[in-house]
Amino acid sequence: MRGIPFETRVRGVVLALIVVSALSANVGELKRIWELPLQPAADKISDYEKRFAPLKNTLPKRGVVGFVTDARTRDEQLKRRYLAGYALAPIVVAPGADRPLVVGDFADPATARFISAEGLRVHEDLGGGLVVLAPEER
Amino acid sequence: MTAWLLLSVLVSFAIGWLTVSLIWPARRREPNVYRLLRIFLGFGIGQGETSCLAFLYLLINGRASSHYYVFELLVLACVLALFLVSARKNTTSGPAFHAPQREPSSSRTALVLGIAFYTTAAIALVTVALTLRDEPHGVWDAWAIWNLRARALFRAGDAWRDSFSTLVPHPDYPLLLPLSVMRAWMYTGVETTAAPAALAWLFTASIIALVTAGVAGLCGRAQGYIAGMALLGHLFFVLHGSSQYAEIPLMFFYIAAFVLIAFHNETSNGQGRGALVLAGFAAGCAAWTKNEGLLFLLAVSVAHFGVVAYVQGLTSYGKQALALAAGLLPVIAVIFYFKTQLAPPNLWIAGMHAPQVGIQVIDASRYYVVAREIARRFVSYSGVGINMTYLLLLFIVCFGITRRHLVTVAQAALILTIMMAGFVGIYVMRNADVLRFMRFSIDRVLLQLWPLFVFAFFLLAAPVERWLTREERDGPSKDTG
Repeated sequence: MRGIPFETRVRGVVLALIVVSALSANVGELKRIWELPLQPAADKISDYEKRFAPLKNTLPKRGVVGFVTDARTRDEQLKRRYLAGYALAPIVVAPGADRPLVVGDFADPATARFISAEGLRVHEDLGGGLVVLAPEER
Repeated sequence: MTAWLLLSVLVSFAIGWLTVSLIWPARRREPNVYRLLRIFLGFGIGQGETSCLAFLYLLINGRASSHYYVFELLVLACVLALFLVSARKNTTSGPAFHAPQREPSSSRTALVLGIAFYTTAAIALVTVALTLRDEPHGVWDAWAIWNLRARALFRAGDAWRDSFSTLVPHPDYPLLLPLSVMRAWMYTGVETTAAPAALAWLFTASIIALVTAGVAGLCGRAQGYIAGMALLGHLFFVLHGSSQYAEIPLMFFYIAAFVLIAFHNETSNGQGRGALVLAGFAAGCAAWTKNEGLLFLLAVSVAHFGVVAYVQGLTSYGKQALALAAGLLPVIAVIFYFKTQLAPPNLWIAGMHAPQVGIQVIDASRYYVVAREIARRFVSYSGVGINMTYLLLLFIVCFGITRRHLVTVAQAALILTIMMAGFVGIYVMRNADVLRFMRFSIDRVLLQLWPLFVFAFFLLAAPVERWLTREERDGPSKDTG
């Protein structure tokens, strides 16, 4: 080191810092991802799709259906509706119950009974909190 | 299915590579880095072209079909025929390569940095691949917007126009990514998450390659490797590679357009404007990928006018602007048709009311909030390693700057400034809680500009090789610029 000028050493350190920083950040991330398969499956979207698969036989091939859920937060409501839309495409999933057919996605299956008091009846119960609702016939 | 998916990628690549080679032909005694650039440009340009072809096919055929590949193979045959005719002419009369001024490579330095770069890039791309395996549908916007649109277009048959209902999220968003996914499914005949995953991975790899090879081609190999390392050192870029968001192709088209502009500035020697035609096409593809791409188009046009007209005069600017427009025109036609005939108005713009916007624009506290949030992103960093902002500052202090690429750097600086001003304007004007709006988008907005910033930064910074070769030859020097 004695023969190497100070400027050269500083520049070398800066280069080494960039290299080491980039390399360590990427190695750390790879290590984290590598260990993920040991944890519970991360792919929740595929699980959601499997849950929604039976709906395809009940709903029309295209058109617009309503969507209601017992999710409490706005973000969670939005997420569930978008997931339903993704699973059921090209059917358009609109918020609210003012459609001839309404998809109900409930964490608590008992909520479906509550919904029926709101002028909707259960058209088909697919289990697991997933129901197709239709307006009560008057 | 895998074979068909591979074929879809190969056909698109072949169309893209042939187009790039036709419009920006190889010249005699050209360095290998140019071949590398054409390969990665070919991939992205090909995706841009075939997404436009898939859109035309939907309009003509009326629905997605598994016979689509015949249409693309016909197009491929036409481009190949043009390429062969052109190549025959160019073997006898092609112009010689005008080498840009770049530092001679110090083989020892380039080797060490090269090993570090290739190792980091391989690790990053394995990380992206593993994340894509674990999250095959991508992250929120991927399934809520981009892959949803691809599914709707693919599944809806002759009712594909229903995909632009105002009841679905962001129906006005451009279609390059959904159509690229859908055309891959038309090849395979069935939906597979491998298609959007493969596109995300290939676009990420291509961005890394374009930044590295671009800087290497203009400044030297060691500088290129350091630029690549800096790009990968911002871990959010790597993590985003697997998101399947439209930011990935968007970043690709930003950097592709600018690398082509840079190579035109540095190597064309006043002759040939093929790189500019391709740059126009790439900029158009950015606008066909996301609405922010329209702002990029504006930024490129203004920066090109401002710098070229000032430095080279209006006549030269006029010729170059025509070349840019020639590449841009086909994509702009597609975007114009989509925006006027299919897409509903943009929700954000439709939701803006002049009086409210007026009040927000003159509200200084909103500017303060936006500036604070942006500054926070530059200063703080919670990941492994060191915030690249500090390292790049250190780099420029220790290595100095060069004026060699000043015209190109000035254009990049103008583009980045206009883009940032545009984003700040949108944040300030949006009729919403500015902090909440920024929370969901600011990291991605800054990320979009990251490859372009890194590329321009390493053109401005004095080449590593200049210092290393000088040190090796003469010992230390006081000059840092």
